[in-house]
Amino acid sequence: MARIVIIGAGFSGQTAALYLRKKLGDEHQVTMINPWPRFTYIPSLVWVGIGRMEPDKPMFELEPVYDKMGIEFKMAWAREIHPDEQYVLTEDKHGKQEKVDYDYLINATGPHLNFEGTPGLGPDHGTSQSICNIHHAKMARDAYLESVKRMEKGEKQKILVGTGHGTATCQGAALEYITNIHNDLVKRGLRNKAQIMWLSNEPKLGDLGVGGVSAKKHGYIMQSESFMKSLFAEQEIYYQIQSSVQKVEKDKVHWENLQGEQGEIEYDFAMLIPQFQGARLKYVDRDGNDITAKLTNPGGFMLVDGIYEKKWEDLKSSDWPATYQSPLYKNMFAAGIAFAPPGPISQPFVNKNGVQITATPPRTGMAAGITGRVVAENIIDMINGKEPSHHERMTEMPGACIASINKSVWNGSAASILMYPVAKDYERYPDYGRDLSTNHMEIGLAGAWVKRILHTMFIYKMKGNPGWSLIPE
Amino acid sequence: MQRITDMKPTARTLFIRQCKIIQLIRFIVLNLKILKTALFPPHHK
Repeated sequence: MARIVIIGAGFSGQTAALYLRKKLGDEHQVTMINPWPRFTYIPSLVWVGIGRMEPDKPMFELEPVYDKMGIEFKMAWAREIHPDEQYVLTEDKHGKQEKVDYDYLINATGPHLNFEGTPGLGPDHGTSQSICNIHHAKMARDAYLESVKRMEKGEKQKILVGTGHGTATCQGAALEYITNIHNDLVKRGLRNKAQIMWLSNEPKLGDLGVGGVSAKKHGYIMQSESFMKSLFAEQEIYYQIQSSVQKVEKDKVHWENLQGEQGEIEYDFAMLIPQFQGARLKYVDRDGNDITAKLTNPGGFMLVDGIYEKKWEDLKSSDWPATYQSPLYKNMFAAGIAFAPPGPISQPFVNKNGVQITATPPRTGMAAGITGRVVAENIIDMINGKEPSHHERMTEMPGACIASINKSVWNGSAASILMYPVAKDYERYPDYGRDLSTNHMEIGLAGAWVKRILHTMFIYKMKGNPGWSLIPE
Repeated sequence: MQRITDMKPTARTLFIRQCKIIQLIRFIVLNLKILKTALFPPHHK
């Protein structure tokens, strides 16, 4: 009998739990540690954040799903991992601590939203908003609707959306939010009352943390930069890129750009994605020593089987993690945002003042689901006495980004961006780093339908309903 | 902050993006493309 413990019931953790339960017999125990009682389908929070979706729609209760599937559920925070003694120290909401023993561990903790990385950033300071979790999305909705009320009274509003740190990621979510705000204001007849602005750390518009996407279109090879410029021109969105937010005050944001210039942008409503770091977990050895620095990178992401500390320009496909297994503790794996990438996909920059301005790699959605499946299959291999045989690097992984522009099923829209692979591989694709016959970009109502279907299908899948494994990650 | 006005989609493009018949076809094509990419990525080792 093997005891498998998963920390985090997000996309990757939930996918791993489903596969483990499906493929392992009842003699093996699967335990999920998660501080919250519900699963949240994060991609739909852009709609919650503008009041176009009820907050309970992208969520479901985990306990009934786990009862049905035979997964043990511990609603608590994971505080410490003791890899030598093979247990996780948890703490529940009453402060009660518990040791949860494991034979195999999956770290699928998702990000720590590092608002502290930018002075004044985040809803706790009463300045900018975030849509990175349901609580923040509801706060963003309330603040946005407050701005809408002011516009209804005739006031002009400055709306700022983008990234709130020089090394933030998830530009796609911010892009969805800004375009949905545009359409929401058009619907309300208030678009002329708002100046909508995009502020990001991307080196080029449309970089999205993946170094941009190239695709064949109308007999040309089109860049996502042109694609995004066209969208911003259509929606009359002002933009500023190559910028790191340095400080946020109640009504203005201080930025510094690649040239080392500094400036301010005034706003009435701002939604800025914070820097993502690894979850605040402590790793402790058998002597009680803190070994977190040995097992994680400086950002707190767990080191796995990638080749680290190479320069961006020297990174090869084979340097990206394949099995997501810890090199120090072979029974530990990381999936989704929790694993440390060997470097950024997008070109990194440091300005003359030493400020790092780099769009860091996204590992959400499809990548999170795929890594969740891969680690589950590798643990099954190990339980069966074999070496981990399942490999899927981000340089072998497809990516589909369906960025909502307008939620409506009648006259909605979405930007559909397909790419292969997610992390560029110039050895296989010397010109653009990706397969141009797979890459695809289009905007239209069809994308809005796909986005709605993805919402329904993924919630269906994550509940472990019949046929869930037929739905690809 | 800058704003560009070039590269705006034409009326024809905007019509295509909202034409229900064309978009139904695009929907089928897009789904097939996503499924093909997800299930059978190119040159997958």
